Amino acid sequence: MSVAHVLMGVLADGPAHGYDLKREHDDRFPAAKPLPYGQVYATIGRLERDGLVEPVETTRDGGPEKTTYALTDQGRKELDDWLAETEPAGPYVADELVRKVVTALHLGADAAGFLGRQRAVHLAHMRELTAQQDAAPDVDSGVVIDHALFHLDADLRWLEAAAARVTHRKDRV
Amino acid sequence: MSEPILRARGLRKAFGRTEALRGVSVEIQPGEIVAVTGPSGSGKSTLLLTLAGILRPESGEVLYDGASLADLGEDARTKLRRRQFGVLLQFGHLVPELTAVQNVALPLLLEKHDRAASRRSALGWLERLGVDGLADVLPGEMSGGEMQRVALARALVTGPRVLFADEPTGALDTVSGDEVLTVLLAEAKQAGSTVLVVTHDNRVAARADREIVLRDGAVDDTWGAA
Repeated sequence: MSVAHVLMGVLADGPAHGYDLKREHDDRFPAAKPLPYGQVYATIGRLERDGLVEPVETTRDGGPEKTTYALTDQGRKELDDWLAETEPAGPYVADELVRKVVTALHLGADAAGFLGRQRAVHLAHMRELTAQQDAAPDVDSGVVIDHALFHLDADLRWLEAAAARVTHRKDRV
Repeated sequence: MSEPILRARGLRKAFGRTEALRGVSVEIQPGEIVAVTGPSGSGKSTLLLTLAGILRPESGEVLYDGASLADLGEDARTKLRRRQFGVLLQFGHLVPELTAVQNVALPLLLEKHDRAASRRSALGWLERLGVDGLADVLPGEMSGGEMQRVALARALVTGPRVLFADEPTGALDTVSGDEVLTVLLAEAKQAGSTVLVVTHDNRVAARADREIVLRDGAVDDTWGAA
């Protein structure tokens, strides 16, 4: 996910300062890691350098300076292009689960046991997300939670298939 | 923990040379929502239908409220199935020649309830499930999600203590499936019914209180049951 484009999307609703951008990002993507302020300001700096956002107001109400940014026309075009463009399906990237199972298989460790325990962890998280989905106040949240749920489901299916393969291999040996 | 509403001991069931259940023992508590999961051919549906008294095991027994289904005569078993159990299958299996309200009223009419009262009750259930607009519509004119809601109304119209559902959302898209399942669980919880749901869908399993995993006709306790 491109944080820069998400922040530009927030600015498309109207000018905002760094704190608003961070808060809105975290609200929109509750399942993602909260955005560090440093990343917000670094991103805004890059967007300003590239002419995609511009400062429109700086205030100092006794505290530190607060700059409000707005999306430029060029920024709006970039945002629209990004929204219209598909993402490459991407090369397969081995994640921690795959690394662990493959390593366990190489070592002759209990891969099946790990897969079973991992499934319980995944299913427990799926329960939490499903409860959140049921309580989702609006379509936005529902869509975000669906995305997380389907990725979890893909992992669960992989865990099941991996366990079936591991067990099958054991049977053959 | 209270007495189990359903208890199966050492169930064995074969179809020809295929052993569908190889000594399955399970206990279901009243009000529990239990998902029965496992790979294709692991015996999920056979277990469900055996617990519902629709299939008879070759050996082992099913106890409902402490009484063995095998000790009941055919008549008593049929009555039990009609009055205490509700069954919902993947494709609803509505009677195609009957309208929604006639389909839903059917279990009551089979129990010789008054025709007008049965219709009123059926209409009430259609309304609760948000499909009262379809009362006089034939199944062939409904979407899959609508048919499943009508089938759910038919399964609930007798106020069953146990609802047996076999892949109830298996033929539906995600959103329709979610809606049917949400209604099913909400109604079951409100009525305090026990639900057994066979599914290969993790999202359905995640809504259950507990999971029974079957593998090759036996309960697999090792497989990440959460």
